[in-house]
Amino acid sequence: MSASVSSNLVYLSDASRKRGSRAAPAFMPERVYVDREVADHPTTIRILERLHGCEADVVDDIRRLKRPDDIATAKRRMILTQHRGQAFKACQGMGPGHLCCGYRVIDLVSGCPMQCSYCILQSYLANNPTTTVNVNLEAILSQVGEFLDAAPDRFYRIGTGELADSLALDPILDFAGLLISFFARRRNALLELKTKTAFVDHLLDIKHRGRTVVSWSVNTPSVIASEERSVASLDERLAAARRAGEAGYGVGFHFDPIIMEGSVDETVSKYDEVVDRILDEIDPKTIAWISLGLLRYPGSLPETAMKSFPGTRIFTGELVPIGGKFRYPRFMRNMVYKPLWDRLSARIPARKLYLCMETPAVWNRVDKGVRASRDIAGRLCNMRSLGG
Amino acid sequence: MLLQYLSISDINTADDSFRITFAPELESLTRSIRAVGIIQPINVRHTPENTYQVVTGYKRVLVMQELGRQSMPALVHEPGDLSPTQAFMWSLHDNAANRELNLIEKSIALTKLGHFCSVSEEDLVKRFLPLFGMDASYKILHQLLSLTQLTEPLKNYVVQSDLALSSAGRIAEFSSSTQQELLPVLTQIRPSASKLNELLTLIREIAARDGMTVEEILHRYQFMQVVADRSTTPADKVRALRQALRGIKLPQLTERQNQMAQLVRSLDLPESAKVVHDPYFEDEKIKLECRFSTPEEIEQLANKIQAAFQKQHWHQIFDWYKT
Repeated sequence: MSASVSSNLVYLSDASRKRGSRAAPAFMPERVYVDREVADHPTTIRILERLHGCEADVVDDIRRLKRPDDIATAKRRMILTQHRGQAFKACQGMGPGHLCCGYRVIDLVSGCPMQCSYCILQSYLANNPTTTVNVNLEAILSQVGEFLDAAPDRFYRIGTGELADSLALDPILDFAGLLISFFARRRNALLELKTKTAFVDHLLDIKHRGRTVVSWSVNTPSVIASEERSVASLDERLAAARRAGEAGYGVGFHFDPIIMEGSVDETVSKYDEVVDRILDEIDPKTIAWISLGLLRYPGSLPETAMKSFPGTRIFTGELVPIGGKFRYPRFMRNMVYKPLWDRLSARIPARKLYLCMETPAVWNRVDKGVRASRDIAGRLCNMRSLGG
Repeated sequence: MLLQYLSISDINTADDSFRITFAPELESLTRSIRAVGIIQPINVRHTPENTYQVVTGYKRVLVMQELGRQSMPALVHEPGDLSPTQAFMWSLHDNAANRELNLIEKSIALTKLGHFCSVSEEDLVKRFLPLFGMDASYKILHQLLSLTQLTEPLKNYVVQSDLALSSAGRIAEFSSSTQQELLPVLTQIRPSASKLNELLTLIREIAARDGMTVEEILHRYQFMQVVADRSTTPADKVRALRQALRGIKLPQLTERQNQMAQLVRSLDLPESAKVVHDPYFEDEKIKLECRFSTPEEIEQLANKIQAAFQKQHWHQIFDWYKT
């Protein structure tokens, strides 16, 4: 063990600091709390080595840690613990009356060092905002393996980006390589690593066997500038996507959240530019899927978000309470989705496109072939996603 | 501690160190003092500067001043016998135990407990909010503390109109000059808490979206004329303001709702029938509600529905509704 445990503090040796200097982490927590139950876990030790001497407290019960007063403080801290419940589950994003793409998620990390005004994690993780890493990866992947083995005739899309960015902490955690190798051996699943970073270079030489899609949340440069912090620029995301595609990975893009700025026509025009950039700069054959999702948020989000983004205007648009969330009315969603869908489907197969958390009525306006959730899953949950 | 008759002019009523009372109701106390005088002496703290700070009995001092009396009985405490913190706690418990504090008084008490007695936020929530008959919630604490941002006229309005905490808290988020502008509007429309919260939210969101001040919004859209119109009731004014603000905040939805209303009018249905739809057009189904008292009314409706079919009006509605 290269980290020495002294009373309740873990200090890193100079030697381990040198070994941990593989790549400069983009994010470095100021303080780390280690659940005593995982203090000797190899993954804990490996992560602490990467943290270049960051002081860590070993705590008996992480639930008793005092909650930071603000999100910014929480984001500068990290908890290393283990997931005690079901870490592999169906995507929670499906609302009443929505069609679902059949996505499943693995909760390895909750919380994120980046900050976006529209991010629902600000509300969802309000009671537990500190970045929390589950180090018992082998046990979690064992759950996934058992699940996949039990249904060999079904095919699943599985992601790690529901409660966190899949790659933002990878310079410290190095989980992505382990996940990619795990999924390379599976016959009935695709892994999706969803990110707003450009941290892909450490993945390029891994044998993925075509079982991993690296995807990017994208937005207009103006939304990225005003609503997203500590993220890669659109240029950097597209350049990273190109590198991933050249390394044989499938790549994905998520226009989510699409935010109305000005009139519908002005909004569509701004997103058209991003569509064109993607299709001009990324080999369409490498694109596994592209999703569209207009802004939606729980009623509690604006108050929380405006503490960090007091100048944001995204909550002042024509959003109304629908199904427990604030959303643009259906006719406005139609007006935005239809032209974007048509523009995308003119250059890549429509079977690679999907709407996130949308109703059959809205789907009907863009693609009459999709009437039920199984229609979306049938298109995306297979290896054809990675074909041209 | 000594019981003394103090000259009222020696009592420093401008020193509000321990005062919680705000906008006190003095009528019944005045009647009582007129009838039988002061029954219970007040508590004062004798300062090194030889002044007397009121610890308990602020209202009695006000009444005695008002009645032009020269002196009143007081229990006088020397500074060494009664610390400022103790004095404030006496005042707090004397008030909270004997009556329900209004929102502004609760705000004053909590602010002074924090600043003056160094009580932690956690203690304010867990010990003192229940003392004031409120839930032990950080949100409630922060709302109450925010009321110190209200101007004096608005504080009076909050007390006089018995405003809900959520509404008072929203008003406190506005600047002093905006509060000044809002006051005549509020006094004339007298909205319920939910309506007031909706109106304030709409105004704030429009201001943020359009980069305008609240004052500019009130004047640009001529809301002051709506408010000042003597021919309408307060409820009508609230309705008119709400409708106008929603039209500004949600222009495309409002236009669509107007289009729908026009299409429904083209059906020429009798008054006994009503087309009901999801106000946000999310639900694909439209409901037709009818009430009848005679078979003839049913026949009349059936004929109207049939006529609208012949003119393709129903198809127009459904085709348009799907878009």
